[in-house]
Amino acid sequence: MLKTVLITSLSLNVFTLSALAMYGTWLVTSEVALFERGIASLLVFVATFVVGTLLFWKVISMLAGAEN
Amino acid sequence: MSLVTFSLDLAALSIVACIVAFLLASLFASKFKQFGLTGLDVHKPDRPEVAEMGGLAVLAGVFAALPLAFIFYGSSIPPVFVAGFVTVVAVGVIGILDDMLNLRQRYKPFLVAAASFPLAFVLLGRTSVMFPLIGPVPFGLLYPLLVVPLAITTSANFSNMLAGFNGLEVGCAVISIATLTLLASIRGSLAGAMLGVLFLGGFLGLLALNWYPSRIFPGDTGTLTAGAAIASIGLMSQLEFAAVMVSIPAGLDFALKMLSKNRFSARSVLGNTQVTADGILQPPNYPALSHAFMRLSNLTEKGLVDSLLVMQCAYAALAFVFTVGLL
Repeated sequence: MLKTVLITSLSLNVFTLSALAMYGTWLVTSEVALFERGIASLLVFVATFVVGTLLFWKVISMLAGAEN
Repeated sequence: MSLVTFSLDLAALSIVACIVAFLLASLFASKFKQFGLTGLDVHKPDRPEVAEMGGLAVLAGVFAALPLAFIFYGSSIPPVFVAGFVTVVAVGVIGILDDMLNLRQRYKPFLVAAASFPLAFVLLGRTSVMFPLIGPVPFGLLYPLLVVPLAITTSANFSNMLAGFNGLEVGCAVISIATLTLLASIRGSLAGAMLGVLFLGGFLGLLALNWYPSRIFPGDTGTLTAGAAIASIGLMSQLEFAAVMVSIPAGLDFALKMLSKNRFSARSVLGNTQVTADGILQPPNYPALSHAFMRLSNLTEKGLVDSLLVMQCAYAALAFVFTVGLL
């Protein structure tokens, strides 16, 4: 159960980070047209999610290595 | 219409879909073995043969309950419900073709995108997606022409990938559809709530036989239908971000698999998950969400599915709290 909570929390961190990056992009592009702002924010969400996923797997591999 | 009548009518649709799907799945579980429509349950030490294409029971259950929707709601049924229903069923038919003819991977996304045409057509007038904190973002004609097909295709493929363990894909579908149905009801979207209760009932009926140890697998018919239903309810009820949130575990699994050197052939190159004599799962050496759980714990198939469903519940709860807070 503890491992389930750990992995779920790690994945939630990836999602939260991506959502925050998306919102940050939305805030700093206030002078851009709404459509471009939306697309830029979405792209930042996807890019952060991919990088976060990579980090997620690194942490899992590290923990699995430590367990063994 | 009072809230109670509204709720009882919807419950009746769900119960009929559930009972018919359960009875048909029981029948298919034995009959499909005679026709050779089977797959090996590779995560058991004895690798039993199990019937495939249980998603057909879901589609049949939903069709059996559909006349009730017309009796209860008659002419007040919104056109967007009909379009969403046709889209999900069309994606289900692609799943049937895939289960029977083994369609090439490269054709499937285009076929699913084409199947989303009815929903895209009905949503032609809609232009914006509602984001939490941000508000509505206008996409213009890109909404019906790109967002709708992309959402249906992505969701269908996601739910097709986070699969392969008894009760996982159907369990995830039940949790996601239940959450979106509840949100659609709160939002006052009759179309989304009706589509949701129909497929929730159908998948609950199948889950009874797909739960560990499975007597029938959903097949691509079930997984593609589940993904299309999740995306359609989200789009119909303007709950796009909630649909994204309940799809995050599957999205994470997809992103992890894309990190592998053998993106689309990792299983054939690096092999399947191995099972020890006492039922403990041992993951192959490539990234996937299920492998993350297996690498950190000695899990049996049932333990793994329980863990992944707990994670799915966490995202469903988050989607619910986030959306209700913003409504």
